[in-house]
Amino acid sequence: MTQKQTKANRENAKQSTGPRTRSGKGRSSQNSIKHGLNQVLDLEHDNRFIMLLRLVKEDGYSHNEAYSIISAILDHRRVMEACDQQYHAPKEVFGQAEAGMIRELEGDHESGRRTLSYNDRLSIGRFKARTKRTNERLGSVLVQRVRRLGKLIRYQRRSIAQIHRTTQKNVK
Amino acid sequence: MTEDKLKQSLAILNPIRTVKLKDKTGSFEAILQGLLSDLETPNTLSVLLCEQIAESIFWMRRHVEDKELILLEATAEKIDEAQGGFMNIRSCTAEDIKQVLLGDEALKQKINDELKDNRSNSIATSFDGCRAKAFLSCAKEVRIADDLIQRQMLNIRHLQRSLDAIDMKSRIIKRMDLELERIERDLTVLEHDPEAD
Repeated sequence: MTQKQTKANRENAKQSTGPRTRSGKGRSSQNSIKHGLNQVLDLEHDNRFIMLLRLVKEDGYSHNEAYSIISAILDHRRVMEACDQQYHAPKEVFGQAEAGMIRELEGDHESGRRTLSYNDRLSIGRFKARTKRTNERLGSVLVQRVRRLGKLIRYQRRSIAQIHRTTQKNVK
Repeated sequence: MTEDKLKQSLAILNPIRTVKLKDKTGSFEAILQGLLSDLETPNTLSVLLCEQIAESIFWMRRHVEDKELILLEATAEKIDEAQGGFMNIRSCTAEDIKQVLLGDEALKQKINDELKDNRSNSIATSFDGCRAKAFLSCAKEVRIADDLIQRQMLNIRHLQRSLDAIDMKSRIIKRMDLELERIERDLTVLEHDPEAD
């Protein structure tokens, strides 16, 4: 990239000051959230929780017992739902959008509609090699899936321990 | 008797189902129904815990399948590399590897011959050699899959203990209810004892 291009990029970037509307700000505030499993569970507004609490209390449990057991089970549900989401997430592929553009450029070059300079072809070659390396590192769908699920093991451990603790405590 | 228990448990569970899996095979439902039919005294908590146990068993099966597929795919990939695979065209698939492992000697011999014939092969000259190399290349992912299977086993064990505790609790409550009923009955009898008049 030339100095002129770098300068132009910096000038353009100065004009962008992030999202302006309320909905845009709301959307961008969710950018860094990956699975949300570290957030506190909002039970007060959960209809499922209210219904389960009522039913468990009807079975003879006190309010506190029912509250702790049901909240532990719903926390576990949140973790397992995140696991299911990660299991069905699409395969991550590097350079998919660029690959189409490159194919188009090369097609134009072959048909004579466009001329690619030596430097252009060199850059394309480098990009293709980088894409191949990165995609090899990312692995197949199965490998990606197992890696993603592996990151959620500790959350499963935590939620199951909570269920175990609450049920054992309430029996003693 | 078992069917009655199952019907009773499903009647409790259906309005409060918490597990929603994209399972087209129906194996989750089969596991769940098997567990529910074994419940002695179904109540809200016990059916909920059975649902979680069934889900853990289902996930464990999924992870075992994934682990097996990772190994099969990695072996197929190594064999392709050794055979000098062209571009993205695969000559050997995970299904072929499975057939060999299930005892298809003819296919194994064919793969071995192709591997020996390829002069530019720098990976391995036999099916077993490729399999060993594949295992090494995906050892990290296999270990994660093993951890996931182990986690599900622990989940099941903890949930079983919780279920035992809940079941015990409901039995204690039932016994206490019966005890109270008996005391109340005794009291009524005492109040209406004709000899007391």
